[in-house]
Amino acid sequence: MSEKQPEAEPNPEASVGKTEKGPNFRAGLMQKVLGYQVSRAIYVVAQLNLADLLKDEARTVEQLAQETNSNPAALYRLLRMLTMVEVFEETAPHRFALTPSGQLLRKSVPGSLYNMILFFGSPRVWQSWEDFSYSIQTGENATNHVFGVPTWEYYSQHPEEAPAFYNFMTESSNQLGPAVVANYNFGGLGVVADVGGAQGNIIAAILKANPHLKGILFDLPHVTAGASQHLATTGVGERCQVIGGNMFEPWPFKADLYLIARVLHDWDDEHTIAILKNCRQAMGANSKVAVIERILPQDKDAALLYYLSDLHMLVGPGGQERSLQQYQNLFKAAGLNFTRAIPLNPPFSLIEGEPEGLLS
Amino acid sequence: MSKAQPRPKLTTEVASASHENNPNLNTVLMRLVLGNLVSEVIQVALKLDLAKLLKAQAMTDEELAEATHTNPAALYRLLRVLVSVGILEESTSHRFGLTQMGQLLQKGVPGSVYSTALFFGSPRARKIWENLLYSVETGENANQHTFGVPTWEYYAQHSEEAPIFYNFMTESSNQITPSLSANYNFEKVRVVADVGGAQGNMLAAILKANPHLRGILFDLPHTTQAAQQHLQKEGVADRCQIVSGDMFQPWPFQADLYLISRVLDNWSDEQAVAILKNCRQAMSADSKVVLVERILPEDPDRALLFYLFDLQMLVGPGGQDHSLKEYQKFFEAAGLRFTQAISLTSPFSLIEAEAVGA
Repeated sequence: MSEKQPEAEPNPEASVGKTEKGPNFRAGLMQKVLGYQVSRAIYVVAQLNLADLLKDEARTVEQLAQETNSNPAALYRLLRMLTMVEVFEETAPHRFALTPSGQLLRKSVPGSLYNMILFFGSPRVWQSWEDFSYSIQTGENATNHVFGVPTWEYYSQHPEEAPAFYNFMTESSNQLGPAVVANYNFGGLGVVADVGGAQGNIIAAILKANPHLKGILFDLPHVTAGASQHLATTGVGERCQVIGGNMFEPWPFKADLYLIARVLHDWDDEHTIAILKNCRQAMGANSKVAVIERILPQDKDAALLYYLSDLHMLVGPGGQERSLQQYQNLFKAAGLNFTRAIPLNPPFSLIEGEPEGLLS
Repeated sequence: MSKAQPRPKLTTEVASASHENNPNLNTVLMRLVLGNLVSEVIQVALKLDLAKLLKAQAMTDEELAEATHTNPAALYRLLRVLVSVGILEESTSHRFGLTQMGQLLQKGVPGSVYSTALFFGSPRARKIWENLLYSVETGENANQHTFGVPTWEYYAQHSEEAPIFYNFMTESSNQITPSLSANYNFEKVRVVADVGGAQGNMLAAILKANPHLRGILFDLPHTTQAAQQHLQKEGVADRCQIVSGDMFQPWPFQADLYLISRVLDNWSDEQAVAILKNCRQAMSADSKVVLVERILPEDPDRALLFYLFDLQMLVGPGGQDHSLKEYQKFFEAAGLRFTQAISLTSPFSLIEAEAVGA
């Protein structure tokens, strides 16, 4: 109390508060700290399916609130915040429209993120991420720690949440299938096997575009359960055989091309090599393997989403994303030769390999 | 459709075309969707107090893993995300240091976000945000829905979590107060009352900077419990009276300046006006009232954080942030007249009023 305060001195912190110019590191950092709130707000938009209500024209908050049974004042505050991240646009007071980026929140448009959003906001994923520190302490997946079972078992125990995962995979496959068709030459091939192909979205797209091909869909029996129907709907049912089985057991089929899409990143190196070795065993001298994954980019500045996906693999299934070099090393360990990498729709690439030499 | 359009309209066709032409759109949105992953990465950095370890020098991922008892491979994967978002820099391969932004994760440095970030990452904050849909559907706070009690009772019931909230408030007070002392003229004030002043952080700092002032700290009894000790530690206890009570009842004290800092944003419009009416009743002709609040900015380009805090007020206490015009209306409804607004340390402002008919 008795100490003198140099009142005349300008207070450095006060001037920080008044300075509106220059980089504002604190605000930038706070935006990242509060990033989960923006994620959640976008999740709520998907839950209410607001984007599809706005597909034709701008609408007032009152109209949107009425259609979604929500509170107009609260909905306004949500939409107002999302105009700041350019998902919506307030075209007139209390009237909102989708921005080009907001269009991607609609179901089933090209590039839609609708199902991805519902997946990342679903209880399993959201709550596993809240236990992220466990994964960093142990290197083990947090899903197992939070729920007591690995990811795959979680969904058999909580079938009500399984659609969030499968719809996300389907949305992603629907975007991946055409990219594979457009970028890979299937001429000269007879049989393509999709290993871990779930409901067969990718193989169906390939078969549809290449009438000369026959297909094999291979995945766990409970995963392929609805696949035959899906393949029939797509009109490729008679050209595609569905095989239920375990990819860690010897593969009971032969193909010219073994497609392994978004499977290896779920697994650690040991399991990944085991899968590739089974592939190698099944391959003929002229067969190829095509792995579809995110390849960690060399340029670290462009790598954020890849690195986040990598951490998601750590938290969820306990896998990882890898660099091209890492995939080449894994190929080698399984007796495969890397032949080339082909960029598909970002962030995916196709990594092709062939047998290194016939195994005895 | 594939032709370049000078002014793209928001139609399906253009949107899909622009997506195909511009995968960036997808990337930008994806970053927002996965914002919670970045938030969690920062929370782990805080829990491990990486900023403290890296304060003096850059360290390798191996060294950091040993110091924090974490898995080196997993930690490396976290560190490279922190590099990507500009919090760390990898000076040489596998050696990490703090950027200027990263410095702010240190506890107690000017502009620190340490306690603020820990509050927003706390289980309660995360849980109520998980129930954002409830608040949007009902307009009611998610805290009550999630935990069965309002915010204030939650902390009374979970006393082990209360420090997370008070540390946040203290960090914030400590950052506001110097700008308050520097920007507001306390010369003619003799008695300043801090209404809803909690442990008295802000009041103690004002009294310390202004030796001629006397103070009154007014808040709920359980909130002011630890205040006496704090005021003593700051050496201002003999100039400060603690009054425990409910701000929705008539205020049993007189002051020249009534400071109501970060209180009104917790309440509905009616409750905010009720508080200001009690203030008006207590005021004499020469008294002033000073609010410290976030004012929703006119310029929407700078508003993201303001609108997020506003939603925090929705899901948490069930209050909201306001524009200056709205605060002026509250003043009017309570028999007060707006006199001036002064920017304090961002994102806060001071809003002053006097009694009408003074």
